[in-house]
Amino acid sequence: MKDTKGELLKSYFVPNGSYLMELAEDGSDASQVKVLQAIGKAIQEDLKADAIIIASPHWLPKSGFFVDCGSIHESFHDYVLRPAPYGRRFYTHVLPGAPELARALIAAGQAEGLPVKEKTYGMDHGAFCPLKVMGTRLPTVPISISQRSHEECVRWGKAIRHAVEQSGLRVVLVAPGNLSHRLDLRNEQAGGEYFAEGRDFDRQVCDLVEAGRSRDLASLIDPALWKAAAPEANLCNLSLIAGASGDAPGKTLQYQGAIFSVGDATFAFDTLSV
Amino acid sequence: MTSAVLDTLNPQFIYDAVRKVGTGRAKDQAGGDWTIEFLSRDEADRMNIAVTGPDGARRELTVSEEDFLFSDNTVGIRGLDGFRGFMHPVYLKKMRGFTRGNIPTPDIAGTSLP
Repeated sequence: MKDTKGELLKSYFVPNGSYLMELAEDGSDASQVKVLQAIGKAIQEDLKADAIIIASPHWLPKSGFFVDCGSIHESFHDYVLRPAPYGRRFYTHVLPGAPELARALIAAGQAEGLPVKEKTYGMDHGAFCPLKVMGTRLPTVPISISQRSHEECVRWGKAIRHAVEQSGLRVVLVAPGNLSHRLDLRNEQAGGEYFAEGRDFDRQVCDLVEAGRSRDLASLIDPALWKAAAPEANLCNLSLIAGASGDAPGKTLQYQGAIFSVGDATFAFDTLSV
Repeated sequence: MTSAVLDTLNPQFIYDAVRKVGTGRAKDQAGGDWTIEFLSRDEADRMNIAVTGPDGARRELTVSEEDFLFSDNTVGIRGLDGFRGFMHPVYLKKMRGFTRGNIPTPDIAGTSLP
C-alpha cells in the first residue's frame, strides 16, 4: 500500500443487463451504453483511478460477504445464450486483480464485525458486462453483495470506504443493478407503460436516491410495491453505496424506464465527509 | 460423451426462478446421463441437492461448495463416490459459480430473484 491517504473517488450504480454488450458491440447510441462508456472514460482519464471495486448484484451468498483476492479475474457466463428468447451472445472478459486492496477490504469488513471472507469467484455478467462496456482495464476487485440485511450492506459499504482511505489508492466503487426487475414480464417496449407498478417504483427510488435517502429505500417504499417491482439484489447495492459514500445524493445520469421489464437507471455519487 | 461444441440449444446448466432451482446435466465416462438439482440453500450457504443417475436412482444430500470437485470439464461431488460428470466448460463454470453464490439470469423467469 502507498503511504499517502487513499480516496473513494466516486460510486456508481449502473445497469448490468447482458444486452448492453450486444448494443455496444453493434455500435448503438443507446443512452445506457453511451453513459457507461462516458463513465469508463471519466474513471480512467478524469478521475485517474488506480483501481475499481465491483459488486455484482448476481453474487448473492447468504452466509456473509466475499472478496476475490486473485491477481487476475476471468469472466464466467451466467446469462441465457442465444437462440433462446432474450438469449444473448456469448462474451468473455479478463481483468487484472488488486490482491492487496482485496485483502484490505476483508480486514476492514472483519474489523467492522461483518462475516467477510476470501473466495475465488471471477466475474459474473453483473460485474463484467458493465466493465466491458465501460472499457476500463484497471486493476479490479470483485466483491459480493449478500442476501443479508440492508443494514449489514450499509456497514459493508462503510468498511470498504475505510479500507480504501487507508490504502493510498484512488478507487471507484461500481455496484450494478436494476431498479424494478420483473424478468417474467419481459417486453421490448421502453418506458414501462405496460408495467405501472414498475414505473411507480422506479420513480420513487430515483427521487429518494437523488435526496440522499438510499439507505432508507426499503423502509420508505410500500412493501407491496416493493414486492411487485422485485428489485434486483433487493437494492442492497444501493445500501452498499449509501454506506460507502456517506449517504451522498445520487445524480441521475440516465433513466430509460422499464425496458425488457427492468428499470434501467444510472446514478453517480460523490463521497461525502463523515 | 459430451460434445466440446457449445450447444446453446441444450444448455447444461439452467436456473428456474419459479422453483428457485438450478439444474446441471452431465455425462459419465460411459455416456450415462446425470442430473444435479440444486434445491435450496441455507443460511450457511450449504446446499440441498438431488442427484439422479443413469439408472434413475435419485439421491438427496446436503453439501457445501467445497464438496464440489471441479476440473476443466468435469465435476465430482464428495459423498457420491465414483461420480465424475463431463460438462462443457462454459456450463461447468456456470454451475461452479452457482455453488459459490451466483444467481444467474433465469432461463425460466419468476416473479422475483433470487
